[in-house]
Amino acid sequence: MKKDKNTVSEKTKDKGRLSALFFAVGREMKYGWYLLIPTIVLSIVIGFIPSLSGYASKDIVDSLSEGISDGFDEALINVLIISTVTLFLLRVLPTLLYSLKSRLSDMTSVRVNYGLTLESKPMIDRLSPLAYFKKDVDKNSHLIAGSNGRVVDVVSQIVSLIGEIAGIVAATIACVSISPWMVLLPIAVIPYTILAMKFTRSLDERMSKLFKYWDITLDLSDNFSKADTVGEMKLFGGDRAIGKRLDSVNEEKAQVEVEQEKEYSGFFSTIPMIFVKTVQALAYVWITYLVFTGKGTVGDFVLFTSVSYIFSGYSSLSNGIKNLMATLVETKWYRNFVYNNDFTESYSENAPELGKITSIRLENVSFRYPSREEYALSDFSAEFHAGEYTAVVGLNGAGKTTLMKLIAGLLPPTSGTIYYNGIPHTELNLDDIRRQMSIISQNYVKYCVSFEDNVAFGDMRGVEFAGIADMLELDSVIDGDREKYKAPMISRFNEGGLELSEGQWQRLAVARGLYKSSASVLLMDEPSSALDAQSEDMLLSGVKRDDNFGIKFIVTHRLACVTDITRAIVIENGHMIESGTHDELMRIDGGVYRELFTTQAEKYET
Amino acid sequence: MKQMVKPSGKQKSKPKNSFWSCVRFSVGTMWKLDPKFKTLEIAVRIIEGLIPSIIVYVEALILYQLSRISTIETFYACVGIIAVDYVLNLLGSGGIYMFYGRYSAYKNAIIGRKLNKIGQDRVMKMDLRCFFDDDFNIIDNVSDIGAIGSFYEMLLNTIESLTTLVSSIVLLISIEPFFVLFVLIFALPSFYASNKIAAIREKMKERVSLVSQHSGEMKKNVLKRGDESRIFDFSDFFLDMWNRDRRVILKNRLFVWLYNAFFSLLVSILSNLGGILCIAVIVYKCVNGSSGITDAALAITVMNSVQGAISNTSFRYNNMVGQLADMERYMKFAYSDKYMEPSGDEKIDEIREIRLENVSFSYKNDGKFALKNVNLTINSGEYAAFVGRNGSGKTTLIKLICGLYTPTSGTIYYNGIPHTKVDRESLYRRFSSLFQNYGTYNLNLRDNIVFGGEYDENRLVETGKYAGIEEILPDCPAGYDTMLGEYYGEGVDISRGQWQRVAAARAFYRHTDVLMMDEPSSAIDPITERGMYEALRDYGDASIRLVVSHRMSYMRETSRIIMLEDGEIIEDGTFDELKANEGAFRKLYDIQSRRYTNLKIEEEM
Repeated sequence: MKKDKNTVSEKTKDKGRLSALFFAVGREMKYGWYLLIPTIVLSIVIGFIPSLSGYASKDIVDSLSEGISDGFDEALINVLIISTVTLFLLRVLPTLLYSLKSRLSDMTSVRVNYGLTLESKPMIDRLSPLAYFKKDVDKNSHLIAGSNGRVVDVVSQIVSLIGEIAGIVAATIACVSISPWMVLLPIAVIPYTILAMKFTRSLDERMSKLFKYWDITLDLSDNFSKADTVGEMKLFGGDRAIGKRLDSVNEEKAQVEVEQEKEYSGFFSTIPMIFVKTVQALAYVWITYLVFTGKGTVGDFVLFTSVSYIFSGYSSLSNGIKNLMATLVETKWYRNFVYNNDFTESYSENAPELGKITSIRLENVSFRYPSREEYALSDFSAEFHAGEYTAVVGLNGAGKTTLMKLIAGLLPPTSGTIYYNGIPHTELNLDDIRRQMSIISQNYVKYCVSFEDNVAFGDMRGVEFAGIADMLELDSVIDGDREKYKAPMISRFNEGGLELSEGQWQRLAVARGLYKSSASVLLMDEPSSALDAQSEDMLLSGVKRDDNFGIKFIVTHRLACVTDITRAIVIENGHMIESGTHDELMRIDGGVYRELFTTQAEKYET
Repeated sequence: MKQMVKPSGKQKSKPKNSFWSCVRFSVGTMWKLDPKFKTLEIAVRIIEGLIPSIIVYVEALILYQLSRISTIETFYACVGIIAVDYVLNLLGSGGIYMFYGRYSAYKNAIIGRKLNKIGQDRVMKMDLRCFFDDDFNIIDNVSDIGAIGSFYEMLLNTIESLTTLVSSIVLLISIEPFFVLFVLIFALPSFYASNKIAAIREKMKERVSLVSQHSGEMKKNVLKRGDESRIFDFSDFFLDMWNRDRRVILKNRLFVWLYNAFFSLLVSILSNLGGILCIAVIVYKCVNGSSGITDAALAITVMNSVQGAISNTSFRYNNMVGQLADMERYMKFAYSDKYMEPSGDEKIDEIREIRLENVSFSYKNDGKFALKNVNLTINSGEYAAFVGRNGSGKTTLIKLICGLYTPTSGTIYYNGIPHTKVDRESLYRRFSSLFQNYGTYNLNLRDNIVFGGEYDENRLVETGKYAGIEEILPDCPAGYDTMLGEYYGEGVDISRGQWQRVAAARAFYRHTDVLMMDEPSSAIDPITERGMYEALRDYGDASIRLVVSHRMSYMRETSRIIMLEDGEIIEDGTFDELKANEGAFRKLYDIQSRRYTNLKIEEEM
């Protein structure tokens, strides 16, 4: 039973590879057919050249032997001169053609890449963030979403294969002109091709393993390229622990690589090699016999020697096939992720319009991450109105961040409904919901663009920016030199780029969240975790004063915000266990909020 | 600690020698890693290089036989030659294909890892300040170690082609020694030219590489985490930025292509000229009657192969030179003393006193000081807190104290021994830390906590309590063996607050003289936070505890508070002293405490 299942899945996987091929060729034709056709022509011409120069050599030798036996006349001398010059040109020509071809394929790849980026952008924009949680290789992450370059590789590898085949065809034609039996020569390459196809068995599985090891290795090695982790490893001697793990991952990776090589080398792989050599040796005997019996000329022998290597060029043909298959697997992953993802968000033209959000109501909302069994949030009901400023508190791992993401429309509820202004979320377009949201994320991203763009993303409104910069004292981050707002950041990606400390980056992330004034809901997730007391105070007072956002949330362990908030909710293991104003919650005997607050506040007695 | 690359202070000075020193360096490094395999490898490569020449040699022999009077014996002789060649070929290639492929796949994977380890070990010996030097891009440098491997691989390729070239030239000598001169006169300049082309091309490519890295990072910025990109809806903005990069890259690529196309055509003409002239000469001789048809056929055949070998060698050599830039960068890094940790040989067994004398520190040596003239003495048993605004130099100070940075000027004394004379390894062993950007390692929970120390189960459980590890355990199906960080369905992804607890447990687990904590509770809930500060308070009277924190409330438990502003110590004293002082500390304290106590008063009313 189990075996059956395996073969079925294998088959569907192969099918995926075939449709990936059609997909790649289709995109290539769509975005660069006018470049593709000359590229193919060029590579066919390049394939023909060795045979053509074989002919030129043959001409020289044959004319010479004719001249030696019958005497040289002017016509014969002319033929000799022309053949020699032709031979020279044929030698030089491939360099030029290669250059042209490489330029053409470069241009094609740029065009197609660009076309694909534009084409896939709306689809990637429409992927639910949930898609990024499922970490199977063929539905995986940014690595694959950004790998549209592989689509281009498919076609360029096919073009190279066409060139190889053209070379074999030309060489066969040349050899057939010597003796019709030579038509059998291409048989020599068949077993190698079969061997290459054998390599593609269980390729998906092996490649996903290799990808995994590769990913883990990258992640672990990255610790050696960050000052903070290097410092930590130095103190703890932790590089040994990391090194040990790297060794073991590498060992597993090597095993897979050997497994892959086993399919290709070993006793059975010698059979195609023996076959090629035998066919070649027989052909040599045959051509020698022809020359010996006078049925062929010395020129024929020269022609044969100059093309015979093409038939032993098994490695380029079979390697070409191997590479193509691997590229197809990656293309398939890319296509599955971008085009056939289960987590694509729906979009409806007829969705009701959503203006400023004045009320949010969660009704029996539960949520579970696709890779987990337990619920991060279960049976959650609550209501929030304009003018409210809610603190969300609870222990680590209680589900606070998940709640924020659900409200922001970043995660869809597994069950239950969220009503925005009374409209259930299922009837709304997620884009419209998100347009009304602004977040200050706990895991803010450090974008490698200028300071200004990190906040405004190209939409610079000077007065608003200045207001926020004042409030967060951003001028001190850039040493008061306002020109630096426009300078690029992160020196690893921009020469002389501005580097910030962790607390400074967080201020930037806060500025980003506050700057989105078109939003009506502000969601802050630990916005002050790395800020000093004075900056925290400025942030909290600023947010309190801000009347741009109707509904405000703050997830925090620092209850310093209590003087500002209108209510607090306490979450434990995905359930809301307490809710109310500060005073109400403090009155609950043995309440969690009361404990959290007093734990922190008792130390501040004056 | 094995240190393969010695920082012998040998500065690579003359660029003239750089090619050979690169060759020496890469061969030396690779052979040290696995001498047996490398010997086998080079033997295989030379055999592979000889095969094409053997084929030409056989063809020459047959041609020679054919030119003799045609008897049935000459035909048999030809068949015999082919048969011998056939058997030799089978033995050679068959052996290579059966065993070598698999063996080398395994060996190369292992060698690759060993090579990376050299680079990583090297980083572990460097002062952390190297990460802030733009000209000394440490991240690139570490990854450049891969260049040694690729350079070596290309060197092997070149050697293989060179073997073919030399053996076919030997063949050519046996036909017409004069031709060799002819071929070389033209071929050598072409080698030289192709070398120059490659060097210039690589320089042009380097210019593009930063831009492509930038554009790759932007792509990651947008794709990696969907959240911000969806809320702020900036994918169009990043597309514009990406396009800008793309245009720069395209322009450069066109330039590189034009340059390359023109010069490689020139090189190709040069290197083929010699061969074609030889053929012209032999044709002329035949027409004159001073040479026979066999000579002509032989010359054309051999010349074909020589010419092929020349262009092949020049092509591979060109590739190798292309790799030279990366290789040189790595060597500059490997031989440079610039950021090597000062290493003395005075071992530190126990830290009783740390004294900073006029210590100043600048990250980039650009006159901007993160710390200015700091004088400070910390004794055993002290529990000191560093307080100040963001960017006031607190983190820098504790990293200087534990030896991760070296002072730009001034001296740090450990038990009276200056930092320059201290054995680093033994110094590090006396510290334990929780930094602000703690590592989240793809190891299991146990290794994440024990992390290079001795494993002791009781201690693991005991110290885990301080950091609230028992509350993480229910999320870990395999207990302490659970792999942290989710990779393709293996292991669990824990939240940021939970990671910080793991990092705190790591710091508590290690029993040392100095425990440093930088913002230990930034993502941790108040209950666990209280537990952690209690553990810190009761950690042991003999040890030094240094904490950087914005939580003013726990400051009253410390024995001493050091207030920093713009890299200078402005206040230093006990909690009560500083509070009574009405200075900068008092101001920060009031800002925070007001937010808690105001409410309490309301409540009491």
